[in-house]
Amino acid sequence: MNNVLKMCEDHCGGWEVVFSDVIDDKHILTISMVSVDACHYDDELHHKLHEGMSSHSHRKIVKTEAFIFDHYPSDEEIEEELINNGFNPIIQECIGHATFAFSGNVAVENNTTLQMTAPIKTITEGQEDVFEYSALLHPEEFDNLYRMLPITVEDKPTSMSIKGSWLYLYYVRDSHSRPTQFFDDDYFLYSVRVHKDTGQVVRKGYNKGLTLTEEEISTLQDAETFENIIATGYYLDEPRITLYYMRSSEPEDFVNNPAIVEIPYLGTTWENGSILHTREYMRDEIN
Amino acid sequence: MTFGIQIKNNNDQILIDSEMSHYHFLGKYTHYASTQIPDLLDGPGYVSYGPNDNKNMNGMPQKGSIFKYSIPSNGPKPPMVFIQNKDVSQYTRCANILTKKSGSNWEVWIFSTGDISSESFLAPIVFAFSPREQFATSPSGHGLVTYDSSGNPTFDSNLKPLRVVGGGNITAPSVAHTGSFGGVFIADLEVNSSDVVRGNIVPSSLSQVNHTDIIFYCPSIAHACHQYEYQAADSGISDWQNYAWSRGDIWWCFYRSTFRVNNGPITNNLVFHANYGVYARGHVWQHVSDSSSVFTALILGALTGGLYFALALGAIVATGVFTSAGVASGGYLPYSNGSRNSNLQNTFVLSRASYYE
Repeated sequence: MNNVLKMCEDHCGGWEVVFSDVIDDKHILTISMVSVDACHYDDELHHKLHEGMSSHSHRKIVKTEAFIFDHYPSDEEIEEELINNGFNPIIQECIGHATFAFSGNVAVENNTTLQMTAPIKTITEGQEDVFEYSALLHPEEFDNLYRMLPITVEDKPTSMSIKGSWLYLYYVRDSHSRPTQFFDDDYFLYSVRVHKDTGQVVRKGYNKGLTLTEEEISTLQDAETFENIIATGYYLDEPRITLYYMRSSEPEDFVNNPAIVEIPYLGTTWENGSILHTREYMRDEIN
Repeated sequence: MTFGIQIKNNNDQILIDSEMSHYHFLGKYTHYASTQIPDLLDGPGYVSYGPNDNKNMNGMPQKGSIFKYSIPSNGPKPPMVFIQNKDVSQYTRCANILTKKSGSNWEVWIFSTGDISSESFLAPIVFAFSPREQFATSPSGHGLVTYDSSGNPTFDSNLKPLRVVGGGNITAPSVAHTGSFGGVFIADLEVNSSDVVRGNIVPSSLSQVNHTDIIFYCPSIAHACHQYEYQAADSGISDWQNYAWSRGDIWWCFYRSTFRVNNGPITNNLVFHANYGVYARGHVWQHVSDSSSVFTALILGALTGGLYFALALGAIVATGVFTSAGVASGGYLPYSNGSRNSNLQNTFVLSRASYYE
């Protein structure tokens, strides 16, 4: 299994004859076939993925079974037989394509993962569109915003945006660890709003899915009519709640992970039980 | 020959020799117990990361059964035990797999490929033949009885002799299964090799005999073993958490050669079939996961099998499941993807049930 081991270590597909026998003039070859996922990362990108805790995978499969030949086959004959039996060194269904949290979606072209840089854009009717800049992918824009902070921040956020006089700090982190400077409780994601002039801090924690009780929902205007809730946002310092939900129940609008914003979705915020605004979240190139 | 008696036919062939132990019909026996080799099934249950599919025997072929008979032939010479395959409509095959002394009796095991869970299944019945001196009863004092030089009865005209009506040699298929062994976490290890078939197994004068009347003696000497391995592993980052998992599975079947008599393609032309039956089977897997770091070494261990599976298999063989099933313990995975003795000529001997019923 030396070659199998090497193939697994190198994350490349192939095959190896691990045992052969001759019985009644039939050659019985036990062959291990190695398949790996199609996502190939160069070292620089791979380092960046781990540094940013960006979703990606290194999937491997080894299948071992016997094949019978009436003579000892050549490599070409073995390969032909393996392919006829469905072997492909590349796993066609790439489970867990790399996704870049707060740094843009990915595209896989020719089995190579490419980094896309479109930031998250927030659209609110009657307001200017807002872009969210990743510390990894948009360092210049991010640093410009970061320098505007009037307070000392102990944990550098993973992305930032600005709306009016408020700077928004987003924390999407390994194991959902909380920025302890601002939060005492655990959430799936965290954001902090800092007034660029006064330094006032307003916090918001996000849970995946709908985590309000029926009683809490009943206090929000028309909230019972909302479907396909994907996340709940808790304002910790204001009487506000946000529910995030899919644009429709159609498969193309299914949102697996609200933080990544691969699929556009909506968010409606209530203040004291009344609808304050509805925003749309998507990825879009910076104009 | 200076003493004793020999009786010959017109062709000068010896029919009775007082110095030879002639096998006589001892009786017709049903099994006193049946069992199966326990499935060797082991591995962790639900694991947080990675596929948890088929952590059982789903998709594995049906296993044959062992039927045990006690033959009251008291002496050192093993009885000859002929099988009457009662489950002929289901293409069930049988074979003698064990004959051993057990106190004053002999214990005989017959392996059958039949589905014992089926209501229509009929267990094989055996017709036992024994040397005269190992019968519990003494000669009655009339008829023709021969004795050897030690005074042991060797032939008794009051008992039905073993009448051989046919026989021959047959080999087993090279392997039990050809083609794909399975896909992802499901194995396909059914016996699918074509039967080896022998014709002209009885004289033409018996060509009108129906196969259901034929009883046969044929020890299983060939065996085969196939295994299917599927290993998968993944590691990476999802939802801002490291994850890593690896799962490695090995499914296998150990087969023994089995036989049946059938009517051939020409009306009432009896033929003898040989193929395999699933004697033992197993599924062992390892599945580990971790969310804090990537543990490459463990993943590679699972992916490359070998010691990884040997340890898993060894752990379950140590349990006591074999004792309660009344069979010898063992891994029942002696080798992988091949067969043994399949090209050896396996002798079979035929007689007729109607001679003794």
